[in-house]
Amino acid sequence: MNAVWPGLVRALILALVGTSIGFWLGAWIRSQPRRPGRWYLGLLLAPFLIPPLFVAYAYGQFLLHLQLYPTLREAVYSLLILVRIAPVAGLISCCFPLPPSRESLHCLTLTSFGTARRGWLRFRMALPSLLTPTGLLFLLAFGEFEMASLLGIQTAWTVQLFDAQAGGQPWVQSVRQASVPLAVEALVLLAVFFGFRHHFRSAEPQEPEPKRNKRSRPLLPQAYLLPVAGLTVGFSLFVLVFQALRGWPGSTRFPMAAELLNTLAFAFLAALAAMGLSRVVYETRARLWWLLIPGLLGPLLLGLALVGLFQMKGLHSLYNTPVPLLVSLILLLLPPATLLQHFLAQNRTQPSIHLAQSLPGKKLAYHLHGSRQTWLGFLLFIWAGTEVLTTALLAPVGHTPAFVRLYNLMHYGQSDALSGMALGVMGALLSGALLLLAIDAWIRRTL
Amino acid sequence: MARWLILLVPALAALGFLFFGQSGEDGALVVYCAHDSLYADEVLKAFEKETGIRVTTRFDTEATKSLGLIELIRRERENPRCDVFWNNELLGMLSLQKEGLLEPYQGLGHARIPDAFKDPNGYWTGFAARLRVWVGHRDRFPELTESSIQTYLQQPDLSQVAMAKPLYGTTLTHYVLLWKEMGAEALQQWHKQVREQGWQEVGGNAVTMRLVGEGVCDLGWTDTDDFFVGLDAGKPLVMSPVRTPSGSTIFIPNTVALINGSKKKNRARRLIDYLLSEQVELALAHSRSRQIPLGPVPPGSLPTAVERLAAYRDDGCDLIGLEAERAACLAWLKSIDARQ
Repeated sequence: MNAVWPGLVRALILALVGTSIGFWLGAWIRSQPRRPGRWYLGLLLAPFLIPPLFVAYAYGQFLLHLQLYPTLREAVYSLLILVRIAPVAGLISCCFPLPPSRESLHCLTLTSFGTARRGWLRFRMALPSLLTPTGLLFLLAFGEFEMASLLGIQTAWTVQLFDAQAGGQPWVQSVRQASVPLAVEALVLLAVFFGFRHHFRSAEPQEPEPKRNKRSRPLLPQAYLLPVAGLTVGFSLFVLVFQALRGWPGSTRFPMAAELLNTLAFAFLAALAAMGLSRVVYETRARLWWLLIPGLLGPLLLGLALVGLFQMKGLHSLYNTPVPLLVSLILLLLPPATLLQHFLAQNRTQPSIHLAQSLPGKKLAYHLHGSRQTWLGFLLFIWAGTEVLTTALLAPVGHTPAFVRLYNLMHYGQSDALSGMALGVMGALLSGALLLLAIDAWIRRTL
Repeated sequence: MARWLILLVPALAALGFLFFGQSGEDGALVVYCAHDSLYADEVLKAFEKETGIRVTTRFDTEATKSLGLIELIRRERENPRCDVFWNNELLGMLSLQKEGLLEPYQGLGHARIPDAFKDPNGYWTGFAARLRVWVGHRDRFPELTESSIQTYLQQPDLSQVAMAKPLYGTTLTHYVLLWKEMGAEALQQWHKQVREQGWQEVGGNAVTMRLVGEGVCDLGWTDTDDFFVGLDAGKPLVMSPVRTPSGSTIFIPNTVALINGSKKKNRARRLIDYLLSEQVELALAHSRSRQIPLGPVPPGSLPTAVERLAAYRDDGCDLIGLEAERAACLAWLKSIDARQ
């Protein structure tokens, strides 16, 4: 499988560039006043949050016309991955302001070192902390599947391996082919964990950066955020909505009711379990971090591992049950859920929350931070519902979730009916996620 | 944490009910279906409505088609989950028959289909076929004939010719027939040469159709059902049947079989007879895929386009007895795919 090496080079370049862009944007967003900062954070995360299947579906027609220009196809595909993964570095930048601290930097300016040496020292101090976001972005880029599959990218090892496995290749042979990507990902994971441990050990408490005057907002970050959100989320939704309306009322036919029920059930359970488990993992610090490893390997390697596991004697009876798929979804959601738990924990140290927690009763404390857990559940629910790869490998017969059906149908190209179906599925998922907010409101009333 | 349990327990119970309530011997009939879900879904839902027998279906991806389901049936041989296998080609079905994974059934449907398209002992039966065709862009080929195709293929740059990856589906069947007629070495040499000349390998027959329809490619191999989908969508397409070196057309039927070990045999047989009925063949002929009936249908009941295609049936290759060629061809294709 010689698509591994081009994929590796591509992922490395995208990870380095994505980390730079993400940290630049993250630092800028952190310096913004609270309200516009939230909007900018939303714009930053939007390309990551939209299901990659929709982006690939929207750009499929364009890339079809580049069939005779493989280099251009690769470039467009790489760009789509870059804008999708860069926000992760931006979010990490918001959670983990990059060392060195301002005090360290001030001490550096007091030395007699030249600019170049100071820059080099500053880079060396920051390097261990850069390993985590760069490694995570590498894993995301390296393990990308949905866009590569729908856009017909030949240099994606994930597509080659998935097609071979789904096409009947014996599991043992698939594992053999996956050994090189697995080794690459294992090495990167080591770097990620090393960087994360280094940050926790050497993290210095940092005062919030002074918020900039509204008048001094530079335009360059906005010149990135708005077009990128437009070209990913905006364009994808435009294609879906335009085609669905064009095909009205035929596009309202929705033959996927059963698949949708399956999606909602699996997504709800997986999100719930991942929320609880991520709290436990985060609060036990180093003791349970190993639980994050399977999810960080990516959906294809995880899916293959579980296919093999549930074909072993003793577990084979569970193979065609919901269990393998639920396990895979929970493991996949665990790393982002744990990262977001850390993000939420940052806010729990604020004095107002500390005071609320000191007061009798839980109502105020829940109002201040419990609701954020619900938003976490919202995100996890959407991610679980839109997962394609492990779902395609592990869904029990007759319980195919909707996004796998959409993925299969999208290979035939764009159509008004399919766009209507995709919007319908997404609408149902969002409605299901809103149920979590309704539960949150119920909890607030009963406290 | 107690709040999580309060929510998780009833949710798990509901999921368990949803799942286990549908399994077991009184559960739904399990169909593994390699046919495009776009068309198969309607047929199976009509069967459910007519008979009251519930059906759960596992489809395959466009990229890998029946090969994944065939391997799944093999893996499940000790505890088969599938009751009926609806395949979109024949060669894979022959492999399953050879391995003893099918059970014979000769019902009303089997009797209706001509001998050339069924196993004499009833292990499988063909129905609703499609044709391998050249598809061309109308601007480039005002008339798509054998000679205009051959003239086009003489040029050194064939980067505007496309076909689906031959590892799967009807393209694999096409290659197996070429393997048989041309010989292994000649086919391998031809494949190497056209790939060096730029002939594109893409994700499926539908992608080939789309490339030609959009004018990105001039010519391609696909099936009649994909051709008609493109034509109905307004693409400027023309087609001509593919002929093998011996002059035969490549007529590829859907096939259906009862899986050995099925615990719902009576219901499975009803579905098989339903799929092989005149009603279903006519429905598939009138669907967007314009599948060609193999059994007798009333005169004038077929769309004109399907009538014209049915005339090629008599020139069709014999697809039975190609297991050895299939195995050898597939092994070679997998070896070159691994190197790419």
